[in-house]
Amino acid sequence: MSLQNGNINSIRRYLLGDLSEQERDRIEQLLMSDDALYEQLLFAEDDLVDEYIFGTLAEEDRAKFKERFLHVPELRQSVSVTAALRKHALETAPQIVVEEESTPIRPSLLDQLRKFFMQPATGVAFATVLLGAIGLNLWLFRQNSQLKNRVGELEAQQSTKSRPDLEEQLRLAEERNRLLSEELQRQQSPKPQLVQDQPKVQTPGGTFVVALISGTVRDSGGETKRVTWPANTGRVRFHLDQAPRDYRGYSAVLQTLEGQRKWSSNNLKITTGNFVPFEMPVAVLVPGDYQIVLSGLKSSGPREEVGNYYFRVPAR
Amino acid sequence: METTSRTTWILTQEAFDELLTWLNSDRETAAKKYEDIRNKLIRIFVHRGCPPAEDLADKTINKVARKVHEIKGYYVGDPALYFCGVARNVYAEYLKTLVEVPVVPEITSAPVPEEEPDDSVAAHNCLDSCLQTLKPKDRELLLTYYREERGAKIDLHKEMSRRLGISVNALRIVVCRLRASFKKCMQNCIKTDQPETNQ
Repeated sequence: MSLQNGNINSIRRYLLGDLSEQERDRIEQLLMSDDALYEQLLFAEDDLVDEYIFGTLAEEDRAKFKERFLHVPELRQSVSVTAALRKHALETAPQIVVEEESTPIRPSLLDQLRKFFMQPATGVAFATVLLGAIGLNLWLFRQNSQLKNRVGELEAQQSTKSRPDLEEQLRLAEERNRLLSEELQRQQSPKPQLVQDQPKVQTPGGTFVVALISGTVRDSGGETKRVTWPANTGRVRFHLDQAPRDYRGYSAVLQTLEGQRKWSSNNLKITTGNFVPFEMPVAVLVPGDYQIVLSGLKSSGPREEVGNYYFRVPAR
Repeated sequence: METTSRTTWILTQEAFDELLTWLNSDRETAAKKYEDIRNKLIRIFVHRGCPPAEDLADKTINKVARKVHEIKGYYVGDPALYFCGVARNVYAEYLKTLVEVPVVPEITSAPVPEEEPDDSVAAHNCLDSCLQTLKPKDRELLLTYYREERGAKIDLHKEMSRRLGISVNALRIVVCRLRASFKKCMQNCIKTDQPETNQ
């Protein structure tokens, strides 16, 4: 792919609204039929956003840019995302070794802390506070050991005295647990029926709903679960069942059994029905065998795989 | 008058299948072509300043799909160009609806503020999680690309491309692709429960 200057200039003028109606129509026709040119449009769009964010856009173009880009929500969001990215990039900039004195570099937080502690007065004060803290820690450690010993003695006394009470509590807890398990089974029992019967609900908007259970490769008849939908369906929504609840968000990837990714969604939420909805256009689901990989995201740390859902789209 | 609110998907499976077959006899290639055409139409409507760009793109596709049975009998050439012609009509219809609505659309009258980064907690969380979806090497490349101040930016990009052994233009293309995937992730994350990418 090459970026040709003539095209770039025309596209830039197109994006800034500098073209006549005929020129605009011509560019749009070319965009529809020429994938490379369309890609150049995306590049040019990003370049304009960059120049705006970096403040290097010429004044005249800046006014046109604001007129066109900041009025349309989608373009405005693109500008906002780039601005956030730039802000984050500056905030997380690592320490840079300065070779030329003339290049001013904003000191990082680490530099500022280091500079602060290198000052003599700060150093003396810090050393005093440090010594005090060590003393306090030693005193707390001694107190803690004494308390631990006392607690140990009390626990020993308590365990000999109240063993029958504990056994009674344990028996009651087991009974409660058994009742809860029975109740849970009663509540869950309709679900397998729902899945075996191909639980499909079609909403008026043309979305077709299918429930899938994690890890179920074959249905009750020993067949790979088959998913089909009626003729007027536009989208299919999978209800990914039995997902663990303890994640702040989920992401799902639809892929072939060979691992080719077809569709993915981020920031999915678990519903009160204990399933994660995952939706896609039917056009994505060409006949074949598929796997949906569901991952959970905690407040920190990497994504964790929490479920696999298998199904087949039969040839029509 | 046809509504310009979010278009519901009213295609029949039969018409949709026929549309895909018209785009390409191979179902998978046709599905890809369909997505390409839809994305391009959205871009065109976005740059014509239409906020319901996705709706207008879907409306265009629906119009073509409804007629595809007769079009395929006489139309010769790239189907994408046919969509382009229909999109112009849809745009003209959209402009008429603006005239008919007595309230002046907000987008043409509101003063435009300077764009600031979205500092909401949701946006911040999305920024972090979307950056995490990138490979560490790509994440560092993207952040480094956006790190420098005005004048130093050009030098930095030259230095980056020299280190990677590619031209500055190639670097821009790499960054553009990374940014596109990042942006898509951000948009979907902020919107929630929307597809991240369609590959």
